[in-house]
Amino acid sequence: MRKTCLLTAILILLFQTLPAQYIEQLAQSASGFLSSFFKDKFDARTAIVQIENFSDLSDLAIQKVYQLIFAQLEGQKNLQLLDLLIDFTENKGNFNLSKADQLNYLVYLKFIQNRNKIGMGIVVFSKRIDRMIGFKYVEQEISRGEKEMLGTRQFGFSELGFAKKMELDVKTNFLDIQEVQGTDGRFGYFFFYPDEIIGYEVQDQHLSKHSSIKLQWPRPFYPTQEYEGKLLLFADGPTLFMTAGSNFTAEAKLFQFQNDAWRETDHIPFVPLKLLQINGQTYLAGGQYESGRNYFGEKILFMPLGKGGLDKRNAYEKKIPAFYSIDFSLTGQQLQTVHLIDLNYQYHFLSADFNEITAPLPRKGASLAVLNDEWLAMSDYSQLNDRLFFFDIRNGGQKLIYENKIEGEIVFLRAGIWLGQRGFWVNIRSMKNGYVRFVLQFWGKSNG
Amino acid sequence: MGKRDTALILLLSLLTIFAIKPHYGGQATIRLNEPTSFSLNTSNYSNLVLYSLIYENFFYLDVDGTVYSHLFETYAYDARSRTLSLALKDNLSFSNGKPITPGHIRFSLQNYLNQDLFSAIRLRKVLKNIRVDGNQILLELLQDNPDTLAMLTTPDLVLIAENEQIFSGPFTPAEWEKNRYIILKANPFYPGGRTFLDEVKILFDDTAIPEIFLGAPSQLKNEYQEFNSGIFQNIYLCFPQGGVGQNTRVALYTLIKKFNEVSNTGFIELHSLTSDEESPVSIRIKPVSEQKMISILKFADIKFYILSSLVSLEPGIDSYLLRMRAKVETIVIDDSQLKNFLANNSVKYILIDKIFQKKTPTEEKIGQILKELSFSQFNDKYLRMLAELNEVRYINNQELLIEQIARMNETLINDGFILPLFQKKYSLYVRNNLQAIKIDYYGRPLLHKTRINRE
Repeated sequence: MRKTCLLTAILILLFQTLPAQYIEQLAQSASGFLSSFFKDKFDARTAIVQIENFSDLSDLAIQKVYQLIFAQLEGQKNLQLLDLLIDFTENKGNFNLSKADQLNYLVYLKFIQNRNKIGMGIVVFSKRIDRMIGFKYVEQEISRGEKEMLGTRQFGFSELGFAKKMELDVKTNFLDIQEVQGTDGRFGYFFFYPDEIIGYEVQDQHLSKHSSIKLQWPRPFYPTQEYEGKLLLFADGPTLFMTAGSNFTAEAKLFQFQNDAWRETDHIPFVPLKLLQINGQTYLAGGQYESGRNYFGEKILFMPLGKGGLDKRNAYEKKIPAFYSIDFSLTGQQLQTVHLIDLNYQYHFLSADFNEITAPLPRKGASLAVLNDEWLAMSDYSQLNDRLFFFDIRNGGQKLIYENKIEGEIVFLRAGIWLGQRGFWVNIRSMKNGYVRFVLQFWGKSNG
Repeated sequence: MGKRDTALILLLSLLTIFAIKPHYGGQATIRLNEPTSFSLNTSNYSNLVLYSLIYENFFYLDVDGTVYSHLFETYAYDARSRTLSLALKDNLSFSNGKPITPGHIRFSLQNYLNQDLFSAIRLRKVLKNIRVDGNQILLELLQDNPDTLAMLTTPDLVLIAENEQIFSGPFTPAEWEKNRYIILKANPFYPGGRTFLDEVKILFDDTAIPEIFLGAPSQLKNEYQEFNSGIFQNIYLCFPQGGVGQNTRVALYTLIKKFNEVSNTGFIELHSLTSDEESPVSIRIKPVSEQKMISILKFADIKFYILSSLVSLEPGIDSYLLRMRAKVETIVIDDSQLKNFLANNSVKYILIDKIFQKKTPTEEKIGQILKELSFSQFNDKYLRMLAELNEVRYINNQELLIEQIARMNETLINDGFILPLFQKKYSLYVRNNLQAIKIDYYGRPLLHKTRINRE
């Protein structure tokens, strides 16, 4: 028995350390063809837009071939290769084709089985002349062991995966976290609880408390079973502002940093979520919780931020589905897309003008957060077996890059920075021996 | 539907049951007896459930003995100063948004202490003073009594406002169609946090099958879970004013017993004042023959009062009386008005019910019966018996305690103002689509965290 275990362990190690050489050779052949094909082409805006699999390679293996081709062509200067793959399931690739009109060349991949060999057909289609301009068939024998390994390992690019970088205990009803970078380059962090906002600074890679803002909430006050709240830090010129809104009060507090202290200066009739720009105008965007409940109502509100500060009179709203979680993809401050989870836990992907731009992913979740216009983190929606998913959303795609099982349930996700590395804050509620524990984790990409 | 589909549906339903963000919304239906008003009156099980939906208890007691409160941030007993301190949470409101103050807590507590309830009398005996200090309510005791907090878990102690009918519970009345239903809406200011359910509909008729209802134990109901409520309802024939002849007493007793035999009431015979399983003595009253019963009641000209909580029995009793040609008129009295009614009217015969929790010690139940059902006949002798009962409780001698209980049983029956009739045990049935329903120590279904599975 012990020998069997040892053998299995060695085999697993071998599979994990041996290069997936045949798959790589297949990808190498394809990328070699595409590289030489596009060598003399100018401004080759290209994307793989269709993949079909008739071979016995698994979905994961096909996805790995795609990733390898993509990685090998990424460095080619004249080729602007866009990654539009959302996911690859049931032998078919799903692509975000909303940007297809910006492309000059489209690439189709087709995998077939030729006895014990895997064949791949590569077709290049020109949009300018509206016809096929290149074709290549490559074939490779793939060993059984490699196929099995490809079927069991989660996504080939371990260096692309997210990893937990830090973890600390937080108090019950931890609502949100925000960070700010000081003029000296150091980061400060603010933890939002229903009764206070605690400020921390980083000392020797640990958080050290340096301030506290006690919160007194006005009536009407709605007690809740599920405390929810959002904290937002933003700068308007040299002035730093902080807002704190919740599901137990009707209005959010607005603080201004003056004379080395935070002072409550105003209130806002919604819960601010993000500072963003639409058509060159800066807005404070937010939603309104249904009082005492764990979700936002069916609208997003926009309050212009101009030279005279917040312009309450010209605030306007847009109708969207009621939601548990929302975040905004920004380039700089410019709104690109909107991601939200509705009350049926269904994920929605909206354009900057809040229209559903693609069919939503057949995916459900409970919380999500977006890091710039690059990464989307989403939690599952089950207490039994919560999971954390990371998607690559660059170039408008929504490709699942990494997923991880979570001990407990994810309460919220928030994009952030820890020790100079970008990533996501994950607040987790877990129960052990009858005691509830709340932990805050930071997940960053292994390669920064 | 294949096995795989069934497994998938099960899995989906499990996933939703344990969904991280619980759904808000929906309506649950419950069948109860129709109340006469929204004024607090927890004299029977149905009311106990109804009023727990609209009035907030100071404290709740779980079946495992855990005590918790939605009103108080902290509560601590200091043995040195013999003071129980209750710190009211900030920002709490009644259902109309009116702030809840320590003054409301004191008023509610005093209102409870003024009631003629056994539990209130026990608390009154240990309480010296109630003070308010900032957001703290201080209960100063006459003697060291760490059990005071447990006394405050009684369902009768609820938060009410002075001089106005506003509500403090998880729901608030929105619509009442007499004889049919009451709709309760979620109280947005509920101190325990807004309920997941938007509404509770309380049904009084059988036109629809509710999601929650009370019924006899071990009835097989598909799609329903059965909870042992630990509650039983005793029905007594009482003679509050005395002066009733033995023959009439026994004839009326026989009539009600015979009515139960021919009707489908679900009541079982009761031969003790509390419960036959726990009573040290069994009371056997020999009924008279049907012929003798008819001849006595034919000319008795009796006004027979029935508490409103037993109103469902009235039509059956009436038609049975008609068949027996007994000259007995039935009159229903509102539970909440009983005390006032007895003070101003001549009531010789009354059918009364009393709700007990199985776990409550027998000595407490017998004390409660003596105090609450002896009415104007409560005298020095009974006071002495209660004092003796308390003494033997503290001696901690089980034999002496049972002896005292037996003596009280005997005295009460011999004095002839109360005759035990029937008992009904209750199970609570809850449809499977309702999740996170909780039954407390007093057998009440608490709907605070209840939600509807939408899958």
